[in-house]
Amino acid sequence: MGKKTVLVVDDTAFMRMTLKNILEKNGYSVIGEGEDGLQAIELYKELNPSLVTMDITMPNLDGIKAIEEIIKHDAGAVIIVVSAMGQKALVIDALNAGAKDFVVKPFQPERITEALQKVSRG
Amino acid sequence: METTYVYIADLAVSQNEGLLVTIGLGSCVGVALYDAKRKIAGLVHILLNDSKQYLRDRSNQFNPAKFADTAIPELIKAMEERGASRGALVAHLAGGSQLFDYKFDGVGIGQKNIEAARAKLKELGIAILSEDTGGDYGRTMKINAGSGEVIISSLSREKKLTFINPRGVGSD
Amino acid sequence: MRDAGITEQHKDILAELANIGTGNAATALSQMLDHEKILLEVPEVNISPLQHVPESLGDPGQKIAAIMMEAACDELELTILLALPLPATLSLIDQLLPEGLEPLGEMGRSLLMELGNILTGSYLNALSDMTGLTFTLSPPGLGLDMAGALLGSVIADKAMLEDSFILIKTTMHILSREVEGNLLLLPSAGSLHKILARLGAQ
Ligand SMILES: [Mg+2]
Repeated sequence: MGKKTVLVVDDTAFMRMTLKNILEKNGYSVIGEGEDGLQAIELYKELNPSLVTMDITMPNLDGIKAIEEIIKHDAGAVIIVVSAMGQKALVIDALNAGAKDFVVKPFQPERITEALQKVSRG
Repeated sequence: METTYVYIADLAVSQNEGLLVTIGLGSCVGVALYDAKRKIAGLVHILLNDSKQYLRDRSNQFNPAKFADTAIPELIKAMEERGASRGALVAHLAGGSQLFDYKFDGVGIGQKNIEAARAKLKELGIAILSEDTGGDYGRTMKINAGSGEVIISSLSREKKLTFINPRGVGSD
Repeated sequence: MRDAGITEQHKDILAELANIGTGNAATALSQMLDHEKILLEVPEVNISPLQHVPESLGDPGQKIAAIMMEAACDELELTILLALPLPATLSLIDQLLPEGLEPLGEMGRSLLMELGNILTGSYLNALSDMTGLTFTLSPPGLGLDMAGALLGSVIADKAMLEDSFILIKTTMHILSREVEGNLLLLPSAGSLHKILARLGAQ
């Protein structure tokens, strides 16, 4: 079986680079990077990745709305949120929208790989 | 030399040897006016472009120095009180930049401030002798009342604009 | 904001909110810096005339990095600035940016924006726990320039018309690096009273 493919969505290039480094070190293949919610939806449809990391605070369309749209398109999408906005109501909103896990920034690299392993085991 | 600092939404007038300084024009615009014959300088640090647009539901006292359309007449008035002649005045403009790099549409307030200051000066028939505006960096503006020399500096450079009066503008 | 109506008791409540918010932001920063010790000063709550806002981070001519964000809930709108003097900016970039990248190049600037996002997000997480309110946050904007020019631009960009402002400032010291940064909050006019009432102020 090949590497798991990941779409990384975050508005800051630094965070995308950080996540990409962690993921590639741990055997994932980052096949796309999105800078906002609109790009996330488009790239998801185009690339059909096995996993998505999704930021919340982004221009144009926020991450929670992007999750709703991606889940509408593919109910089986596996998305984890990686955001600094760890407020209880937002975590609940994200999970209701269809996110499988929620990692609050700042994070230890292991937290990302654990979350992805957990959700991809189903 | 006596130095007078002009704060944000503030103006000052100086005569003979005085230096007027305003530090840190970002999207704000600095307008310096000068009467060379009487060695009177005025400087105002303008925050916003249009008083009418912002005055709808205000109960605070009104500060004319805050808005381009009211700040320039107010500065002229203060200079006339010190003996300057309106017909002798020339202007220098600085500031109106966009310091923050963020996803943002439309015309920034810096550009609106520049345009409003230019329009008001034109309306009042005051020639703009120099302009150092726009861009993405902040400026400090100084005018020396004795010489009319204007100095614009930023963190990365300094620019001196010595006052000259090539077209005899304002020599009443 | 008109200072009428902001009492000493209100200032105490705001200082306590700032203390808890910044505490959480400092914890986040410490985690990013391999658990370096970060010392917080007591928050300062000041009502400042517009004229003096550009000096609220010290010398208005000093070069700083300012990361600006907007936070809002139903009751309150806040402009939040993470303001880092140049030594702190360079020190943080030095530790957090992978080697070989230019400190103030595109990735370094992006790092500063993400730092603003994370510290402000952490601040809001604590405020949300304390008040039961849920805040939204805008993406960050970054400026690297004179402190006074940046602060003036914040007031102008937001078309803030007040003649005086409530400024809630907390200074964080990163001890081993001997650098400091500030978190500065500007609540927008009239939006403070509901949150103060919610927190039991008279
Ligand atoms: Mg973000």
